Amino acid sequence: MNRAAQLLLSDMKQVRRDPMLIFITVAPLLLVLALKYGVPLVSAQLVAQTGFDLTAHYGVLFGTSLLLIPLVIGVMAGLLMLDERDEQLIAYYAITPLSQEGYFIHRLTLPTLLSGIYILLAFIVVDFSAWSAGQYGFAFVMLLLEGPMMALLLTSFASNKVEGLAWSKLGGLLIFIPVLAYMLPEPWRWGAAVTPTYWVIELFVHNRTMQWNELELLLAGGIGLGVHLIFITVLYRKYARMIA
Amino acid sequence: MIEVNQLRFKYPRHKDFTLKGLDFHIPQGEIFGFLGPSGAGKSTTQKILIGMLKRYEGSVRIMGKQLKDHGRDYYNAIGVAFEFPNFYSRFTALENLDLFRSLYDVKTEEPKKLLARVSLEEYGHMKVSDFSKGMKMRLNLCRALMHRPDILFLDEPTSGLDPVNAKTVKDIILQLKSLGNTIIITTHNMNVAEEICDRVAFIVDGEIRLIDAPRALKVREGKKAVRLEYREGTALRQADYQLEGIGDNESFLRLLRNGSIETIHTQEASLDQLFIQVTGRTLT
Repeated sequence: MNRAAQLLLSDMKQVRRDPMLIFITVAPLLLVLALKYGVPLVSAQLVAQTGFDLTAHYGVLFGTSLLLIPLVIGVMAGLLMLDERDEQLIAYYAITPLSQEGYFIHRLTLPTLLSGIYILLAFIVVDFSAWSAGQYGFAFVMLLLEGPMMALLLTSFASNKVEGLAWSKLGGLLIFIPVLAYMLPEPWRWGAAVTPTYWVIELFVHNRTMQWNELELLLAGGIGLGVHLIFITVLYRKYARMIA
Repeated sequence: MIEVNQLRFKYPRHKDFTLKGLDFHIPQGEIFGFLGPSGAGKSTTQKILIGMLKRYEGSVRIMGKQLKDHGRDYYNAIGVAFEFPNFYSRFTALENLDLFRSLYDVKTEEPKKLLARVSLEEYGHMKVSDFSKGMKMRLNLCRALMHRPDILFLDEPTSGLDPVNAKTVKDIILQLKSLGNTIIITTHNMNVAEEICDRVAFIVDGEIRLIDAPRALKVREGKKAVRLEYREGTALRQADYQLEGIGDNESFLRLLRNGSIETIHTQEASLDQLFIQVTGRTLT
């Protein structure tokens, strides 16, 4: 069996033998189903009973839900990496032809693929006519980067798995901050623009019904991608120093 | 096989050099031992030789090429067994070996055969979390041998092993040497070094203080004498005799003849004594 297939098989075995990892792997599917069936139902009930129109906030709701997918899967990858670091397995990979970089790429490939599948599924099953292809495109790339970013956040700052769990909770702030920003008036909400997650939600909340013009979209998408790449670069450098 | 000249290394944010100019050559087919107390620089030296630490000064030529010029392929040629075995504890021994074997680009040994060599054939399907320290150490050796490396780096290879398994491991090491493999052992254990190493180097404070064959060191640095223990009535007595002219020493010959001798030992230095003598430190 070749290297990639054997590593993939081992990853699947690891997930199968850990109930928490099984849950994290299937949890995004439950989220997608809730978006598809739960949200319209709740929305209709809210309008009927309180007059509150949830559809006006679909952008932030959809963006936040989508962010949960890579962030949760990224936490899973981060915890696996912390386990492997605690057990000195990363040190062992470093002295095999796989190398430390190869290990890193492999470890983040599967979670990124898994996130990608669930995100696409969410794009497909949820009413996607409200957003343009450009919005979806930028959001998809940013969302794909969220998982590795979360995994790196855990492995760069936590020195063991217990600390990793604490950092994962702090990582939840990455979702809370843009939601808070959504509720703040201009220009205060721009304060949250330094967080990468802000830009994913911005793509979905801005002019939900009116399409963005190309320049605005390119600007928001470009800045968002830039913020993500800066975060990932800084975190990767810290991670590399930590395992050196 | 390995030629190291003026090797110096300093860890980031450390004031002093951990290695202060090491020179040693290890020919192919030799078992070479690094001996030294904790923090002396043994592990740092090994980490450099296996490519884990890169920012060193000096020259490290391995298999005819500067270590810095070796690519990933270098890892197909070396096998490493760290002191603390690192495996996926939720996986069985065979699952672990299958996983690590897939990382190599060269022909690998059949994991079951390797397990049999270290008497673990019955435990292939047992989870590593249920293994004892000794079993993990043997599994560790299996993994290091899996891709038939030319150079083997073993850190405390008999640590945690009972005498029978320690002998199995030592026999495997000697067999590998007979096949032309080069083996570098890092250890605190002087007995292991004496028994299997062709040469040893004493490392203290980042410097090599002595380097030679264990036997040559012991003879050169020891007393050329024998110590006898014998019975005189009910009392146990002891006497030392210089080897020079011992055949004409009447006192010695009389003890030999009257059959009261219980033990005779030559007084060459032990590696332990030698180490303390040379370094002023104990091997802790």
